[in-house]
Amino acid sequence: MLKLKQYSITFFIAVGLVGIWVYITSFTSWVNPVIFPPVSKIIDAFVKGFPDLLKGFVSSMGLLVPAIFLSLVLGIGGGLFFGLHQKSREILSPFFHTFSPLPPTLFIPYAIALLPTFKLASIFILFIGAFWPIFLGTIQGIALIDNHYWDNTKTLGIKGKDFIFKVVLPASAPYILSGTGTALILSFIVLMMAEMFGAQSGMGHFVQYYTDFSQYDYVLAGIIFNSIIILAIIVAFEKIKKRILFWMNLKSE
Amino acid sequence: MKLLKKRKWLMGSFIAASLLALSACGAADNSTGDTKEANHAGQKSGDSKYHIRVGYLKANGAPLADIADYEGFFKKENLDVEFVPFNSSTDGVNALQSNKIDVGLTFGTTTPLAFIAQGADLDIVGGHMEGGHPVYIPKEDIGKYKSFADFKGKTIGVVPLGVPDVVFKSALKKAGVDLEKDVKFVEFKTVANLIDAAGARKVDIAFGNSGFLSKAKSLGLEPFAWSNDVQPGHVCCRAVTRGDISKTDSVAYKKFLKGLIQAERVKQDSPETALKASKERIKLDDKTVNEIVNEKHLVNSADPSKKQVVKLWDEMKQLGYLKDGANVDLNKHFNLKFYEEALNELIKENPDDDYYKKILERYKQQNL
Repeated sequence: MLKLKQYSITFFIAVGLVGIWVYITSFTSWVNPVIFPPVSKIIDAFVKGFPDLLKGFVSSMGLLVPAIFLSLVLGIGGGLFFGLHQKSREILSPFFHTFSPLPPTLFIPYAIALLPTFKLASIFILFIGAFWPIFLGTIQGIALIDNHYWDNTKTLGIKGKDFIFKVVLPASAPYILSGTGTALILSFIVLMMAEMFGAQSGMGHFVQYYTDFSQYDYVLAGIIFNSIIILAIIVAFEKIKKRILFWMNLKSE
Repeated sequence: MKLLKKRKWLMGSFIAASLLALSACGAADNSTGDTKEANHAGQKSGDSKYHIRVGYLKANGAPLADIADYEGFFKKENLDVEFVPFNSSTDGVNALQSNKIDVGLTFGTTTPLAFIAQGADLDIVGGHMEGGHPVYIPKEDIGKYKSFADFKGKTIGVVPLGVPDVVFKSALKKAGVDLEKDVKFVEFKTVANLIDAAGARKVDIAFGNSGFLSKAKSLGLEPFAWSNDVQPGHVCCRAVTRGDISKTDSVAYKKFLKGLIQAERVKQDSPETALKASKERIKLDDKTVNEIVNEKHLVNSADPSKKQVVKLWDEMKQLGYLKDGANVDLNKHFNLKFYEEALNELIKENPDDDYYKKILERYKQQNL
């Protein structure tokens, strides 16, 4: 009941924002109608562009899913290794600090030159964006594991697979999942760059394409579509996160 | 226990979905322009068909290649053309250098020239666009400027290193305007951003590109001059290839240019066919597509126009864009033999048609 009330407020804020847009674009001459198109034009563009947006969703997922999967495998795997091996971490941490803040666009010419197809180059660009938050989140998660866990593990003699899967990963899971959440959001930002070459369709491609032609009704229609997809994915991720971290009794939905 | 099972099921589905998506990466997929069989221009093994991968800039489209495709000129030549879109000319030329595409068709002239100046092994083999770029001013300023000399003291928006940037800056210099002291340039990443800024009156003048006329007009801008008037015959997009083309692959390039030469004629005689052909590629309303393809100042020609390219190269040098390229001999970066062969074949195939003979005369004037 409380949730329903809470979301009804969210809904009214959204309606209010749309109302402000409608008022400014349709009843005043404060803004340029080309850059700020009226809602009717945006809806029209959404309907006309919907088949392309759906096609774009499918091809973007074809890039995002493998990129996120690779980031999870290598980010968590690598993070586990460097989190548990202090010496290796200390030797390589200058590289982590140097490479992690670099914008993925810098890698586009190298990805195009070195990888055999444009699709793999796009996946690689997305991977770079998503990898670092997961990798660094895992290292941080392991570094912050409470000393009691380490002591108890030694006392109980837990080693090997059990040590990783029953102690280290669950204990560092909040940070890994927090990094994964950041990676998901970042990957949608990077999608715009990853679909700048070789792509005939895609969620980022759609927005980028119409931006190049200053067709802002289509740009905004694309942004709305992308926002709906991102919201759905983030909500689903939060549910998964809550289940995995059931022992933390998270309040977020 | 139940929760654990659910978690396992969830994890299993995620891994299965990821593996599926990963395996799909290896498969051919047109949506991302992956090549299907042949990895370079030439003949596919065990097949009589030729294949060529053509890169184009989304904002420019590829009008001549679209017409050739639409009219079946490539099909007639047994040439399979794969179109690969790019947002940035630099990414496109990088893809060309690393053998991911075979021809860069609408990456401008200045970007390939800047790469050549850096020592890239690229050759200009043909042409695609000439002229068509306007200088925009706010409509309330019509009558305020008589010539480029009147731009003194103004703020000018440019997309650096574009053809309009070079042509109009050269015109300013010619008119006696000191580019360092007399005017202030504001640089933009894209033409769309530039037009929007000019529309919002954040710059006094915009050195625009082709294809934005009605958008600019709707923002209260008007063309003050066209690049064709400032520098008649100046080149824009050139067809560029790598320098290391083998003899077997060269047939595909000749066939491609043969298609473009025929398309040029269709474009002149039937603008409506050009519109129909480009509509397949440019997903905008008819009016905008028509403006991008058929605007009267924009000339589509497959001629390499070597003399004009050399002129632009010299202008780029004078503007300080090619400091590192001062020692590069541009003459070594033209490969005109594909165009010559294509044109000679067309003359042979159409002995009674004077059109191709005229095109040959134009070629001699503009290149030799």
